[in-house]
Amino acid sequence: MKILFINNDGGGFADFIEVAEGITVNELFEQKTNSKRADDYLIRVNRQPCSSQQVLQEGDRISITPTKIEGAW
Amino acid sequence: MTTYNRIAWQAASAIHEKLRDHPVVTTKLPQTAWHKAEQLLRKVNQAEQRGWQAAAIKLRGRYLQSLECLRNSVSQVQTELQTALSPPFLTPLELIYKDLCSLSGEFDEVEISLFHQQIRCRTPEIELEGVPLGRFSIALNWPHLNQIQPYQIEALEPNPAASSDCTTHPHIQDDRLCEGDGRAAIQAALQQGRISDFFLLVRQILQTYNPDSPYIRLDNWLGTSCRDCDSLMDRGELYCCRDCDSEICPECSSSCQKCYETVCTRCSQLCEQCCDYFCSGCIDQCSTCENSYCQECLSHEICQSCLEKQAENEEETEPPQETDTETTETENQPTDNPDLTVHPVCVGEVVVSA
Repeated sequence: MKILFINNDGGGFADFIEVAEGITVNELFEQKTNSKRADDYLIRVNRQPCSSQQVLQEGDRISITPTKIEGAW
Repeated sequence: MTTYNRIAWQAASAIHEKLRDHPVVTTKLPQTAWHKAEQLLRKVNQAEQRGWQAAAIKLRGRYLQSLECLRNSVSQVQTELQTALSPPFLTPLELIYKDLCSLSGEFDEVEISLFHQQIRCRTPEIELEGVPLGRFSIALNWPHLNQIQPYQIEALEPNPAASSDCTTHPHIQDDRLCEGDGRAAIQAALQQGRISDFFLLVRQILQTYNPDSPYIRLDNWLGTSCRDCDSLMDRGELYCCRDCDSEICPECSSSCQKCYETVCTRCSQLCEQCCDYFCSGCIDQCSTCENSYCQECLSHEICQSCLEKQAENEEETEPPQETDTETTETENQPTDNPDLTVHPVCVGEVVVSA
């Protein structure tokens, strides 16, 4: 199934991707971030907070944003 | 449809049109990071030329950090350009609209002004390392989406750094955020019309303190005062007295005229002879008068004045010298002692008293 995946870590990535039916938020997160700590990210499905076990649906928008982003001068 | 939703739909349409017709492809070279590195290199060279070894070591460390920042900045520009050159993903109009509707779930207050063509989101109160910075308003101006930074950050209850009124946050100066690690992601979000992601990214930067690269460090936020004149300024602008280690401003500092180390007004000592100022390591006392003199003005630990006095004293106390002729005449003079008679047989002999 196709979902909109947005990764705001690093350079930023946003595009529709194909994922397996029944995949959970946590499973997708681990795949896409090489198992980084979920606590270090704001994870939103369709712009709403979600549980790690939420099953993604066709057309869902999932975004991953680091909680700590260092500014500079 | 509520009033807010109607306004959100119109704003989303304007944003979508702006991005569709004028895709954002902007990059800029990291000139600020370059200038910072240049400035620090000048200071390193200056410190080394003057023999300020301690300052040179500290400055070299900061110079290395600035080179790392410069390298990261160049790398970011490369990433942005690569992203810009590849076909951009543009968020469909309906999704931009949904982004605008979802902002109230992430921010306390959201305002969309069709008149000002602006979206404003207010953050909660931000406190970093115990320093309260208040709330901030992030204002995105959608007509300027094709510019490098089409938004401003206004401090709503400003608690700026003591040494800089325009620095309201360690990473904000003059209402401009220095995005640092978030720059590429913010650029991508704006290029693609992901408005909610943009506001989230900016909020997360505001809630993160990077101690390696702020405009002003939080431990200097309240300022450091010069020990002598109490002027508040950034700690990096203060000098350290080599004798007492106190922190003093450039106005209150002076240089030892021999070793050029920085000394404060209390520790610098005047040479009584040449009237220059020196640090404790380059000034001595005359062993006679105990006044302070630089090493150039002392001769074998004695000052010129005392040497001259010594020379005068030596001349005064020198006893008068007796010659050999006077002694002989004294010996040959006949005595007046009547007990001593000259025997007529001993004519030609001298009577010498025992």
